[in-house]
Amino acid sequence: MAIISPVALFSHNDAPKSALTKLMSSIDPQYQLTLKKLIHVLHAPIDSPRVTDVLKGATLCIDAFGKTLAAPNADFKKIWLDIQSVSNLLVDVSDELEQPLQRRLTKYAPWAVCMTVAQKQIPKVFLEAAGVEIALSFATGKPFPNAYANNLRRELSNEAALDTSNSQETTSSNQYTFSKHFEKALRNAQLIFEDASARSSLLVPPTQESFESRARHYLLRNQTYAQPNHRRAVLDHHCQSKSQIIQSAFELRSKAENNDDTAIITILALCIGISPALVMQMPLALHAADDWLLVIDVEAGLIKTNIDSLFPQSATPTTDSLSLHHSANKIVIKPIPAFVQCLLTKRLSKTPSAQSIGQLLPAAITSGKIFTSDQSEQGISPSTRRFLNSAAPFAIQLGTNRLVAATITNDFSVIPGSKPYYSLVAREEIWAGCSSLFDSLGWGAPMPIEPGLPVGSLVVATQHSVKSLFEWMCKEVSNSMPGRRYSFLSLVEHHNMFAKYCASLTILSLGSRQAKQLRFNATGLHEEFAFTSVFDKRTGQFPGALPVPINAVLSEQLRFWRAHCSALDSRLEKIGLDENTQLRSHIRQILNCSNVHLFFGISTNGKPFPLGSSDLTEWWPDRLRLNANFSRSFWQHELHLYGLKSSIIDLFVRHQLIGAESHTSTTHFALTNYFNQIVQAQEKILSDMNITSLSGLAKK
Amino acid sequence: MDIQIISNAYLKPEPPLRVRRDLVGRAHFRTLNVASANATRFETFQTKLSNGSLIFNTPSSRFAACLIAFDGISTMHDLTGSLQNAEHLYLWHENICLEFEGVDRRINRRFLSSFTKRAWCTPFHLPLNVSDTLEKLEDALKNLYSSEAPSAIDQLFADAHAYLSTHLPGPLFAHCTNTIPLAAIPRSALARQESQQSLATFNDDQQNHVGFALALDGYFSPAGRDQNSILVDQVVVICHCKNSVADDLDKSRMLKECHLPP
Repeated sequence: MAIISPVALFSHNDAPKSALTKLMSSIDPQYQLTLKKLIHVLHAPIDSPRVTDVLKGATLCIDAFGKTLAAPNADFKKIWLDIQSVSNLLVDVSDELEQPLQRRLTKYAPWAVCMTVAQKQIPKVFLEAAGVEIALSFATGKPFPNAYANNLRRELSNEAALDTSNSQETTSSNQYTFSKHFEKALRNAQLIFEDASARSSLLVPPTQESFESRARHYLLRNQTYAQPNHRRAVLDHHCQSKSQIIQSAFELRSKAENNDDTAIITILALCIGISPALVMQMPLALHAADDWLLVIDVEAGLIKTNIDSLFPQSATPTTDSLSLHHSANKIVIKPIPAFVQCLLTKRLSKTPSAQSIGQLLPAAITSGKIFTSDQSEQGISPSTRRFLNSAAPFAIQLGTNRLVAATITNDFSVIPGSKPYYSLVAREEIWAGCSSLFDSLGWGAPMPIEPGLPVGSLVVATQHSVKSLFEWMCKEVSNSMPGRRYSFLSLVEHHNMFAKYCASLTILSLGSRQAKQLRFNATGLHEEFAFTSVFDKRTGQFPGALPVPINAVLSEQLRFWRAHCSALDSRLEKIGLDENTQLRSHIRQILNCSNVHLFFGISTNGKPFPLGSSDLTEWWPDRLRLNANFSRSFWQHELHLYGLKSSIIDLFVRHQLIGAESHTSTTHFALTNYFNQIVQAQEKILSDMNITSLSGLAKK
Repeated sequence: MDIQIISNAYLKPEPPLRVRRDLVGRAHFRTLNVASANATRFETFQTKLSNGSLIFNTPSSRFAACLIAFDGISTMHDLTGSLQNAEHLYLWHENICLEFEGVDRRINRRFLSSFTKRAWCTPFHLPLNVSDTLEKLEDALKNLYSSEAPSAIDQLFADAHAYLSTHLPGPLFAHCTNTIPLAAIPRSALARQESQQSLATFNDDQQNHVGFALALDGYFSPAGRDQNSILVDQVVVICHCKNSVADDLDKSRMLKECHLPP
């Protein structure tokens, strides 16, 4: 233990002189060193006021701290005895001022704390908090931290803290500003001042974290803290190069076929997407926990991942709307290479009681530092860690869709975090991705496909349901069309339905989110525009509006909407509605492209109100009612099926991937190129669904 | 689309984009609500300029308008710089190049579009009077934009930013708007690329130039003033490479025999 040396004591600039000299002369030389240490520790002012009180306070603090120790050791006892002895020897040497540290309290906070402790009765936690720091300072030679002392002092000056009635109660230390440092100091002090033998007997053995918990943390950590280069699918120095990966894969297969457990574990780790150490703990399907996250079915050669806990709180359809959505589940099922399945089956037949992969492959080494290839002449060493890190970037560079690559490698850092909430991946795509990956690695064919449901969002609307909804809306709008003899009420009824149809088509085309009031305004949304700025959620590092392309169907619908507004204004004028009314004024503003809500309904009292998502969903019939966000998952799925790249779909739905954002000074493409692809795909899909623009009161 | 109607919405040129910098210095662009209208209006401006329906009082103002419409000039600094250097066009492969000084004294270069080349071919006085050209351009653009707009050119620049933000890749857009300017390769580097040789450097001393010229003259034209080609002959002999000697030693020998410091 490092006890402060006497030399260090006198480096203090404000070495006490007058009062201290008197005290020094009044005590025995053997206690003078202890007193000097205390003065150093407590950062004494030059006049060291009320030194007797301060020493008394320090003694109380040390006493209180000593009681928290389970088994104080000899070092602590020596400190305690020294301070006790010095404190007993001291007597008041002179009259002191009432408040000797006035205007100096912040600078000499440790001294002030000890003074207060001696003068007033204070809660035990304060004594312990000061005592632990004094004892530590004595032991290590570092002075009492001034900021910590100031926190103590401020809490002490709080009337509630000084309330004597509360002082007897057991007070929780968590409520104070010094609590965090106190806990840390207490832990350190226990290490220094408690007997090691006693401490070890008191220690509670750490609880064993379950495989599910560790695997979940591993996957979430990789997803959250991935480097931007990794998210961009760049094979950088954290990965092996392409040739190294292929060479490593070749050598691993050779070793695995020669029954090298480490090679088999490494191959499995790449297929599963977790570290070799975790693979060892991975349960076999029959022995999985109830809340399983990852299991392996050795007989079928399949790996199952439950992504529900990785992407929690995803939307679920109501029982009435099940038929409106694609059937899907949350279990990713993917194959392992057939030769690995053969090897594992042999091991399982030898050890049928095995419950985890580790029991099948007991001789495996799980270090990430061992090399996967013996040819390590290149600059970057081909470590296992790098090999496993390369899985998703390598799969993407093979041409696999990012979403599929993320699913087959369990590396969700290469797609935006919200994508799994919206998209679907078919079983066939997973098998195709695995086949491509294994083939390029020289691992042969995967296990045969087992047909099953796609994985991902449970609320992806089908084409049929969207088509039915729009057919129903068209019919409603047509039925409400006023004849030649119209009234204000018939105009309002038709307008409200037509406005909701236009808003629905706009939501569908732009993939906009649920909103209390739709934020499309007449300035930003016009039939002549190629794109519009949409800002419906504060998300990402720099929240703000992002451009979304306008397709031809929406463009035509917006033209019809303005024609309708113009015709409505004329008819309202014919009915005799004054041009200064709120309704006609709003219509004129829309026609003048002013900054007002574009889609509005008319209330029963004749006033305009902006439409919101709920106005639309409440209008839709129960049997066809989709959620207000339906267009986002719909396009995620449909554009994916159409063949658009994952990053283009992210551009459309305004999902940002850190490091690969699409509206920055490092974006390598022109947005219009991608806009054209999106618009082309949308128009084809809308045409297939027979969703077209619909006119209201007028076409021109 | 009727430009006049849309422009009524704006009383002052509002920037169509908001720029934010992240920790590594990248610029993130966020579009404002007016951006789509600005971009559409800029497309209309391009159309009108290309089909000749915009009237300009002087050819130089048409040239300036073409630079903005088709060559990605979208700041006043770049426009004045390019107009000042309009007389120094040069040909590089099949491209007509206009070089000017960008922000931070960086070299900026544009390969002129066919519309701009055509506008430049219309006779006008060189060097251009920049202030006069800008004034005439402002007058021409006043017909397009609302009379309330404080500066039609500034409004046009705002429209150009909105248009370019979707039509250019990120680095190029950031360069054109001077958000993160790039520097063009110097012409001397282009010359090196073209000739595949390093460039000769000459001493500025006039005497050496004259002496060197006389020596070359004597070598190539034996009937000239100095009918003696011996100097160049000697240099050729001295500078004949010897394969048996290392390059650096051979060069030192050449310099020594030429009585030049190594």
